[in-house]
Amino acid sequence: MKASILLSTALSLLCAVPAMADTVKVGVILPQTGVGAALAKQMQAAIELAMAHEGGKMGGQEVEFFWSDSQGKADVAKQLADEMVKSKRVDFLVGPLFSSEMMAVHGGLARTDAFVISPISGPAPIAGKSCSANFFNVSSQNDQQAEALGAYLEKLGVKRVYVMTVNNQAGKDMVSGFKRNFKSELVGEVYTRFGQVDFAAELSALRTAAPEATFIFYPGDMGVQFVKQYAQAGLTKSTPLYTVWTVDQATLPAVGDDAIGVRSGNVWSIDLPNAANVRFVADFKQKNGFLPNDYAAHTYDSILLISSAVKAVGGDMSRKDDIRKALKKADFASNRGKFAYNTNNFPIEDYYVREVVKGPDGVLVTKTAEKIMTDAKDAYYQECPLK
Amino acid sequence: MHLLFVEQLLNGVQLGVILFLMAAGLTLTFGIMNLVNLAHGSLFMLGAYLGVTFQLLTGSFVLGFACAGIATFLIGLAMERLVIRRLYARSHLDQVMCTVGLVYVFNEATRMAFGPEPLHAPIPALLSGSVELIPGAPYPAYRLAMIAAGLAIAALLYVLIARTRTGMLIRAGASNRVMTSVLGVNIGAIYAVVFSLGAALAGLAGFISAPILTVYPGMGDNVLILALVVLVVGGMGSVKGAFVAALLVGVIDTIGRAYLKDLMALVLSPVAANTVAPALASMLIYILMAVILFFRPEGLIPAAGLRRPEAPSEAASLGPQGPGVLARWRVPAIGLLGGGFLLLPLVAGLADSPFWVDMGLRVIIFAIAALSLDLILGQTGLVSFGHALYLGIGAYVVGILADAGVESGFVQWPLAMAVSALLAAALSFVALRTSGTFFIMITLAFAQMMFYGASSLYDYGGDDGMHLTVRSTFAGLLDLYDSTQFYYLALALLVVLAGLNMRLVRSRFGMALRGIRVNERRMEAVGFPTFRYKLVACVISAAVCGLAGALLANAAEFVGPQYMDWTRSAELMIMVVAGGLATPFGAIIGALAYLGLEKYLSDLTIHWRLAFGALLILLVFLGRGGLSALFAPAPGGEAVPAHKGSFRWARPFFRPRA
Repeated sequence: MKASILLSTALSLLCAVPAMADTVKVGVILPQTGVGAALAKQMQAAIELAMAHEGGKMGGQEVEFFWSDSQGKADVAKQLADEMVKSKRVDFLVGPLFSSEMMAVHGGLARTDAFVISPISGPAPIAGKSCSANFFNVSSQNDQQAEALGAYLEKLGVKRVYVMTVNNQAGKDMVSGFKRNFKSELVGEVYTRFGQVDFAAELSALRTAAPEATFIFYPGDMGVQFVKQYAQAGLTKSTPLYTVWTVDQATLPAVGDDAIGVRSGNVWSIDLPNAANVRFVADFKQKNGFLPNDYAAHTYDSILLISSAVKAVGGDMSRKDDIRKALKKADFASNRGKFAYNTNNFPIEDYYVREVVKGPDGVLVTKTAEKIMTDAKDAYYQECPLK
Repeated sequence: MHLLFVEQLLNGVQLGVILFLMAAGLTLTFGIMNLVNLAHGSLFMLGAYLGVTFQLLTGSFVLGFACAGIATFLIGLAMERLVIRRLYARSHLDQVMCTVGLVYVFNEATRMAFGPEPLHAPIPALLSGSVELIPGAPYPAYRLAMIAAGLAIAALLYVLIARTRTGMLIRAGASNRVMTSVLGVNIGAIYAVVFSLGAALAGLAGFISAPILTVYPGMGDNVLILALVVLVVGGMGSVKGAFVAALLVGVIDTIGRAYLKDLMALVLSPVAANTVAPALASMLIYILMAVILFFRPEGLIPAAGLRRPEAPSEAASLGPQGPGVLARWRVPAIGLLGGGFLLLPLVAGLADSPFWVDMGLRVIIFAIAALSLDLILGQTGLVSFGHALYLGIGAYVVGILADAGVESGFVQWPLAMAVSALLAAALSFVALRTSGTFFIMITLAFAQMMFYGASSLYDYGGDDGMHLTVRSTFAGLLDLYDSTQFYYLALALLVVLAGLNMRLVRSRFGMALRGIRVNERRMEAVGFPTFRYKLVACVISAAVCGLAGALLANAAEFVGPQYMDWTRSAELMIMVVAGGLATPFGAIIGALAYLGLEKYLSDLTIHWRLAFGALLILLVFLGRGGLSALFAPAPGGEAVPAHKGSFRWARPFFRPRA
């Protein structure tokens, strides 16, 4: 039996489907299992919605999607990305989600002519020194939402801030971003293991430090647990919580009322009044039965961005240079209202602070409180040799 | 400051209580049935899932609690009747393989049933606030309740075992199983009860930790590793030992995380303390374990009067007795395999699929790693469950050197081997003081220790790992960015290493290793310093695996702690066993089969691990000897020279006895 499986493996390898010339091939790498599973679900739903809005085609061309599961692991993502580009010959790669995965994938892909569309992750090296002409970030550079919060807390006159984040590339980017605009000394700077969800020891230490505010970066479930435990420890009232990439529409139902009053720095919010966003939010909710979060919003934009480029070249995927120019033009209706690329292929955009409130129907929603930065550029674009 | 200390102490006790509930079941099954059950973490997860689901359904925390206990008790009973009881007479290696298969099945089945998104358990309203145990230090009420509940369950367990008739029978069965069954006690029923009881304890632990942890598929695996540490520290089979060790581990882990940085800042510069302390804190309990094992190899409080039956030697599961079904295809099969590896880049080039070369390279690298594991697992019979550790070390040496600007493979690769060998010498020096189950646990724990150590290397990517910016250079002789050159380099290394492996196995040294596998005590009686032989085998094996790690870092252009993850160690073990123990052909074909199957199944469905786990369980029960057994030559065929050798080797030592 094992021999037959082996044989069928060999056969299936030999009979790999021959490439069809006239379809647009999009590879998607998401952490469908593991810590990022809930985020991947949002992103997948967003891709499906975007394709439905585009009528299932891009620039009149059929689109073939290749989905794969990175398990949130960088080495797996790297292997999948190589396969996507070398074997499945995708024109565009959407993902992977986490910055660690993106860093592992980026070096190898920069040697190929595939376009990498990063819906979320924007690690500092890729925005700066190791930027690449075929890499396009759709959300923001990692530091930037934290920069916005740093500026906000500085403006509020807060002096004693305690910082806690995941111990990874993105976490470090967030902290350096926060410090860029926040000038006072941090009273605590704690990094915890990726995937840690019990923060008892760290919260005890936090209380002793008696900060005026706490800034965290804990995507997905880590954030759900953190916000709940923060409330259980009785800290929410005395020490306001500021977050990036942590409290959003996807995690709010799980956190519950403990999240009320939590503020975060963002480039998008569910209540942005532009037409594209109203349509996106309404259709997303109707189609899936749950509300979209930032991850979904930016992934939706990623597909529209790809579609705009395919349209610009009339579906001729061999015109790589024209596709690159069209991507850079970013001629699509973003749910952020406006969208433009900087020289390093990272967006120039506005940053907001939003707050969790209880809506009139009892549903927790994030409400835009204030615009902090307008047409902000990231801190690294001058290091990038691209023009 | 002292208020905070009390608070951290409570946090530690709370972790300890949960660990005790997990370890209690494990220690009973280890002590009484001599069973290595790695699926215990799955019961933790199932308890959480089922209990929380029921709690959300009924709105009652108490009903959820009851459901978690009862459901996991029944699941445990079913597991014992269907699978586990068939493992009692099997070797530890079989037990590990089969229960790892169960872990895959349970995790994937849970993901299919409940979806990939985690479940969030509400805290009952009564316990949602915080209590000022000491004025000025509010402590979450739920965590206090966890401590109380855990201690209450521990007390009940003590009464059950020490004061009731059932408990007496359990103790009797533990100290002498044959005598107990001769006296008319149904020992099978006792085993079933003990296993299910352990399952229920794990389930309850899972349920009560659900509100402070996230409930997701695979959540039990990390807790399991900590529970194994508790088991080893406390002494296997001893409930009292498990209790003491659980509290010790819980408190040391928590206090270490909280205070080590401040303590180290007293002696080191702040920057150094910041770098070293977190790494050391996460490794602390493993270091504690190593120290305790060094001085007390049986654990802190070894179970008194336990007379565990000797586990069937790993040799029992070795070597097919007759010719394999496909014996006549042996030569063509080896030829096909060799030809396939040799021509792969050519074929891939013709078929315009360069990815095949990458895939082939990966197979070769894992074949080298599997080959190195086979030297200690297959040849020597040491069930090392932490071999991926050296894969990671090799990779990190390359990564760190490249980061420091040393890009030459002539420096990187030998150094990767040397560092792996040195580390293996140190770790095995402790680990080899133990044997059997203890050895499995301690190798696993050492690998976890280095995993956390690597996760704390902030400068080298921390948890994320890091991107390898430059592949190793070979003074212009070879270009690893050319995938064909890289492929043939790896293939050449594999061929050389397989050849060396065959030579080694037939040497006097190799014979001694086989002798140790078959009967270590006799080898010792005959005058062989078996400890030194085993140590040298571990060192050689680690060095080769370190080389595989160096290759892997270059192939993936990535270095990260996940290379050392325990699932990676399990994968290596599966490759070796699936391919067939104690033959280089087995390691190679095992790596090919494992990675091929993984690629094939994962392209079909994201739930491929379910099928994979089931295959693994079947392999343990049906696939004796692994794939290479299918091609085994008839006895009296090719294998004879090895036997001849063994007689030549044996004669001078055994003659005096005749």
